[in-house]
Amino acid sequence: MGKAIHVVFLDDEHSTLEIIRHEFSQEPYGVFLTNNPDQAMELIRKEKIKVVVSDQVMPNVTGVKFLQNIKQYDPNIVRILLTAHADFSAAEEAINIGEVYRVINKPWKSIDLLSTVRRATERYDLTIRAELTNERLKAMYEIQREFTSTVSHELRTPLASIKTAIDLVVKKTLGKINPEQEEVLGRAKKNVDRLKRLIDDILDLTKMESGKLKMSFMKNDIHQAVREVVEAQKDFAQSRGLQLKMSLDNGVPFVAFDSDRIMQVLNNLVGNAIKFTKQGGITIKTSKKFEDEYILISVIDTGKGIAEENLSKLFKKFHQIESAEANEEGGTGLGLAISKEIINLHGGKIWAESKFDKGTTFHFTIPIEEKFNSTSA
Amino acid sequence: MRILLIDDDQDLCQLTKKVLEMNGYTVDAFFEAASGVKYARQNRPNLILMDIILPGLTGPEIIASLKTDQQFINIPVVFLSALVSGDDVESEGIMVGGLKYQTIGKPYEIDKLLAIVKKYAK
Repeated sequence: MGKAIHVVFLDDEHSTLEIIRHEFSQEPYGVFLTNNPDQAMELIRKEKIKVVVSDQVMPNVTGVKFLQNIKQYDPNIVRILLTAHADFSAAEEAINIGEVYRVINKPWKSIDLLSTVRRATERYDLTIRAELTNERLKAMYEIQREFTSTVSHELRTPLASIKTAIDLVVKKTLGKINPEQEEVLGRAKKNVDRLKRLIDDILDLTKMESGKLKMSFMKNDIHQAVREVVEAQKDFAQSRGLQLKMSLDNGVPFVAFDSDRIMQVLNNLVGNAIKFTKQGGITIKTSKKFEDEYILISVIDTGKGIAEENLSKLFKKFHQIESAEANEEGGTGLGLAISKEIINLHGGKIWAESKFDKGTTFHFTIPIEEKFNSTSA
Repeated sequence: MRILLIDDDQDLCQLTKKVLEMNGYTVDAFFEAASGVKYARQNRPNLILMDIILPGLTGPEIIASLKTDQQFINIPVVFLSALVSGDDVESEGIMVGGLKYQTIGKPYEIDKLLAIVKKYAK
């Protein structure tokens, strides 16, 4: 006695219950045996029951129906059905509708029932532990998000004064400065702007990771977004002596996407491509792929390529390929991580392919099927 | 063109004042809301440019109370805030009494600030 009751057995035959009492007397947990479904339910409401085992054929209720009630009350309680041999329809119903853990035929081997119930209690413990961990993780994410947004605000405030002060001087609003002063302050400005982008990106990414980013999905023309990005990046490409081209497939249908966010991804990919391409050009290509399930957008450059072993690391936070170019360009190391989150939120995929010395292509997909209505988080 | 500027960050308040003055605006700057509001009641500014988080009442609360006063209904208000990114200028706005107010993120780009001030100050 004194063992906590973890398992409830329901059977209308007194002799069966006696056998079970005997079989389970050595178990580390207590069992409750009854022939009354109401009594069983009452105990389940009161105690922390992990497993319920029910007979199928009883005078007032079937085992399947009873276990269904248990599932409704608490889906975590693991359910087992005892059936007379060859009662296939009951077994079928129990598995397909009642989603029971196991169906055991009568008469059973003592060891079978014992080990099944033991495994069932373990399964219950695992589920509960997973749920707890999940809740803790959610709470941690929430703390992190709150912390990040507070810190961002606190960082932006002093940064605002630094930036405005530097900009005022650099813009020569307050009077002439000599070329050396201009160069020195130019470096300060570049890094202030980089710090500002970094704060914005961290905040953005934290919002995405904690599911707090508001997205607005609208059925739209991806080519419109591509054209706008090309327009925005044209001058940057030209300043590097690079061509920015489009190869648009007219068969690409309208799909649901968040226009601002997809443009953010495209701007990031095209901006990266321009930064890391010395000569040639960048092409943005669209097409329909995978049995018309997705539209595919590809940003193709003629840069020096990325080594195979670095391709998968590209989308990790703060991962930048170590190079003088990367340092000089002042990226935040978060652009691709953010792009990946955005594409994930669209139900699509993003990846990179590269041949050394031949260039790199970044692909992303957006599902054609309308999975998203007008807005969702 | 008179601008009322309220920001409890004294450094940024002075710098923003300088930016605006160097571009031809007359600026009356206050570090806290009460004296700013008192000033606004006596000298109708052409534009109110204010922080959102201020000691005591928040910017939107101040505006909500000001806007019940007939003489303030036509004075445009633009918020300045580190709560939004400077890049979100176009998309983010703060709702007060069913109206959306343009919000400039901090740190701001001088050119963007000037463009918005020019658009609203009348």
